[in-house]
Amino acid sequence: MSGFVVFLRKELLETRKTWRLWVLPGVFVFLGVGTPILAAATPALLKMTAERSPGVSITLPAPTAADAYLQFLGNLLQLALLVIVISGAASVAAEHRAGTSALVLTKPLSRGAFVTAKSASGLVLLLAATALGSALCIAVTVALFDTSDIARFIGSVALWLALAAMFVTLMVLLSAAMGRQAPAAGVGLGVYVALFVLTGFPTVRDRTPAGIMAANDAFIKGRDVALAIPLATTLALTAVFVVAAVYVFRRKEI
Amino acid sequence: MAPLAADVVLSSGALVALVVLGVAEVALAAFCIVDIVRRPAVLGGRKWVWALLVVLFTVPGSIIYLAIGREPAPAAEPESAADDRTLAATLTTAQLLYAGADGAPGPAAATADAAGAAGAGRTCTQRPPAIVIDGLGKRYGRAVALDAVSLTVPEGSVFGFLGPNGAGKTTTLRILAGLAHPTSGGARVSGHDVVRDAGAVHRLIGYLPDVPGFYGWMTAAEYLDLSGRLFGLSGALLRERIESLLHLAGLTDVSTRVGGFSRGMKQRLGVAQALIDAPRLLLLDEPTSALDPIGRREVLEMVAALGGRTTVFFSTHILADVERVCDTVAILARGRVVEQASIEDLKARHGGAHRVVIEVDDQAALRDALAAADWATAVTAQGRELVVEVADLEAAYRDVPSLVAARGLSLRRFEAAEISLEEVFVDLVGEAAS
Repeated sequence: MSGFVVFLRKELLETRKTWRLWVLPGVFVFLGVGTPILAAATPALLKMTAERSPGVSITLPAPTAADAYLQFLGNLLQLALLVIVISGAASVAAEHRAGTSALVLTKPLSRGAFVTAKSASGLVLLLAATALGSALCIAVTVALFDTSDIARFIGSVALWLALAAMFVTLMVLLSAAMGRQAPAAGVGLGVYVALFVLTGFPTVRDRTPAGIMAANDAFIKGRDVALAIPLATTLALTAVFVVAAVYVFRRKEI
Repeated sequence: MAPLAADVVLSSGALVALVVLGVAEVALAAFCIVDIVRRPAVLGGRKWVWALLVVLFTVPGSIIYLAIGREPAPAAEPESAADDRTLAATLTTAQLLYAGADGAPGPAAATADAAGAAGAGRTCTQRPPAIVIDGLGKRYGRAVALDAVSLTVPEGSVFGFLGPNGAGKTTTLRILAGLAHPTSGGARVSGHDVVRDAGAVHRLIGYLPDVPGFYGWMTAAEYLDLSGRLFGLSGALLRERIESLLHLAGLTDVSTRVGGFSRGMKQRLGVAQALIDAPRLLLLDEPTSALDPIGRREVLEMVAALGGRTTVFFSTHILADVERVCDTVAILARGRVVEQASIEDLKARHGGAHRVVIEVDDQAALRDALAAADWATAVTAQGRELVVEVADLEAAYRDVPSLVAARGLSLRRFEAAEISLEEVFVDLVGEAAS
């Protein structure tokens, strides 16, 4: 794949110098710092609210580190995945719209290298943002609560990371195939909603990435779930999406 | 299951963290509001919409604004650019790029050429034409963009690809550059098929589209560095090329990011990036359309300087540019090549090679006599002048004064003028349209 290393270097430099550095890592930092604080403060805030309403009595469990981690994981599954879908829709389409891809693809840069570098840089950014957000979440949680459940939390984040990686490559494929950001984001959101719906159908759920969505809180809660097949399917789909993006983009007019 | 708390209280640590989180949110939103007020322009132009977004959705709103809302401030044209760039600098750059041999390619082009020569069983001295287009067709649905276009571009020529807007010039260039796929027929660049062997073609060409798209976050030097590295250039050679091409483009002292460049600055950078690997074939799509008169002159001088060193395929509808630098032209109209020839041949073939302009005191008395002359192919009155298209200029020089004298007329003006390319172009395109 001609030009892969040079173009990947450009992608990573672009991440450092543009909005990309703000969006996904920004969301992760916000979630990593804010979620444990809100988890710690929510019962007290609710109690204060209840005290102002005569006749209302609220009894809440004391917040724990597990609550903070579960809220963080819930936010990853919702807000962070949506950010990945929307920002990923621009990966190839934005270059098409701006005419930047036309200029670099008439140099010795193969189309395969172009889309593969897009996927690779997206995965690097995802990994870095997840590591940063999770580390901050652990640090704040330890400061406010205790050191329990850290290993389980890391396991859960790793599982989510596999699902998020699949969405990164899916969005590069959709962005390359459709050439426009809005339709790619729309289809990506459709896939996201469809996976959520599939979590309600055990037969399908246990064989697809929907199984990872459903098991998001399993490690923290100590629930026993079979994840081998959903994980294998997710990783296989990730690879399929990368190959499909190369195949589709080679046939596109720029 | 967590124990139920009889009396939930907010710990001092959580309280401090909550306050810090709140302060950070407010600070982020305040930073964005100040930035919106100070910034000359925001995406979409409506500052109040962005301010409302930040106020209503503090953290997500601020992140969205910082991500996509900020328009870069426009860069000023460097005042010294016009003085700095001279014909000598242009020629020096051309010599530097193609130093050492007549049309010696850069490293990537050399690789492609070696592969192509090995594959085709020929040597570098038996080079095929720079471009061979054979029956090229392109349809977009029912619309025909190109209809069996065929032409050959000799190596080393400066080839003008003329046509009115919508004739198919850009489509042809996009197919040659591997960006679009032909519906029928094919094209070869230095013997390489543009579809099946696009990788080899990309090593040989430099391409400038009509509206070049750059990464707005890069500086001009960074973009040239990226372009050079894609061609396998590095080290001192790449640094030397970047320095020389920045000078050629008049962007040496410009540190602003490309996103803030004027269209002319982008066009000049576009020319520079196309030259980074000293391409064997330079594809230029309307390269002077966005330039001021000085920039246009410089690009044309550069194109002229490259003649003989490399092949330049130059699409335009500005006929004066073609007459100034091109040795051969093809005229495209409605997706078809209606003519391909040298400019001199074209003028000679269409409407005769010359015309004479005559002004006398009684136009009507001379007109019929001129029309009857063997050497005159057409006579038209334009104001007080008679314009005569002539097949034999020497005969016209000899006979016109005697015809005027024989009728007792007073000769006020008598001069020869060439048929302009514009007239040939209008004739050919008009014929194609009808």
